[in-house]
Amino acid sequence: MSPQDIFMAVQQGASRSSWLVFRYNRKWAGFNLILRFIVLVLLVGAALIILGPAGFGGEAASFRQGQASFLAFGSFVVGAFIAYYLILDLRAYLKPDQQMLVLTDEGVLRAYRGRLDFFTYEQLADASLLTVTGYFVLPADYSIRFTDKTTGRSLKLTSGRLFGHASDIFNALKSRLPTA
Amino acid sequence: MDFSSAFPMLLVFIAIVSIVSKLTRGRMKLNVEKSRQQDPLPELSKALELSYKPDPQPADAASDKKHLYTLGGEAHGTYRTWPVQLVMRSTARESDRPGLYRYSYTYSDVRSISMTVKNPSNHSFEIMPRTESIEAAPTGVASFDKALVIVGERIVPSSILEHFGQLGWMHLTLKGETLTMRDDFYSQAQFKGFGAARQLRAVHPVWGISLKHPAADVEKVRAVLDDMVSIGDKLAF
Repeated sequence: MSPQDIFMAVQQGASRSSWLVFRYNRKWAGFNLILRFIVLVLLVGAALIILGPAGFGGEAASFRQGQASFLAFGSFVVGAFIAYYLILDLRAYLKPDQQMLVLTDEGVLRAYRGRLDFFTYEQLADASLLTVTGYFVLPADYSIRFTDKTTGRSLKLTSGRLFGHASDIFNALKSRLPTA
Repeated sequence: MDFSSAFPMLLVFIAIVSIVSKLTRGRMKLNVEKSRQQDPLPELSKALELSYKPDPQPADAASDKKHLYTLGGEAHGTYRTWPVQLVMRSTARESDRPGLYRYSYTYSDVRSISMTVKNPSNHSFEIMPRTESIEAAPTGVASFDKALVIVGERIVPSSILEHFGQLGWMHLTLKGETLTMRDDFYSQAQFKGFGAARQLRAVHPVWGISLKHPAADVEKVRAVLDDMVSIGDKLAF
């Protein structure tokens, strides 16, 4: 079966009994969208304050105006980067049925942000659960990472709770990997 | 800031960090000795009439100063006509690149029950905890559907599904001729992050062990082994 066939089968509710389907966690994704939107607003606001009459854009020396341009440009680049992924994630949020992670007999299908990726279990034989320890009020973050054996690239399969908690998905994945 | 007062403060800070890291290391070694005495597998294998074989220490254990412990072993034998293997194994080693301000180590903890069965029709299934976002059709057994899911062929009798549902956790896989209970109970999301404290009072649903009571509950283990035997019997005929 091609990745497209697997995707269509799950969408139509005709998935095989041996497949394990993890659906898009809309609640978690929505919360993250709001957080990133707040960061974007703060960045844009900071850039406007820097350039505005109260900031360096007022009656400031010319070298300060140079710094202001640099800061504004930096905020614009970071803001554009966040906005790009914000738009992609907003599109995913509006089409939750088209986002999924499926553990099939042969490999893992990931449908996310309009892309379909399929990795055979041999491709991700060195998959591991990466834990970034929490600090103070920040919770720990979990992600499943692997090196694609065909391309040698280090990739992330999922993180956080996008398709359910990464550690639970990893437990399910481990029993299907060739080394298990 | 006045640098003449900052320097002694820095020295005091370094001294405190060194003392704390030494004390933490000492506690780790102490826990190893305690764990060695409390390994539940020797007693469990005796009760189940299985032969226990402890893991040998690594050849470089004495010279490797970063090696902390290698505990556990394997129990082999036959349980009600089916070959069975119980594994409880844990290793820990200090990190090669420790943090500046805290003691760090890597560890692995492997626990499993494997039973060799006859599977002429090459059936396969996997029973695992029901987690957020997972999609699985219900089995009709209420206690099972509340806590667990099954993927693959539904050849497990309802009475066994009900027992697993009452346990509240199970990760059982049938692949080829091996029925494996893979113990990833403590690596579930519920014990991660802010839920880590729950581990302290959690009683393992299969082994019956907890941090307070390290001895295994033989009857609990026997009940799960009986379920695995029933599945094995069903597969064979």
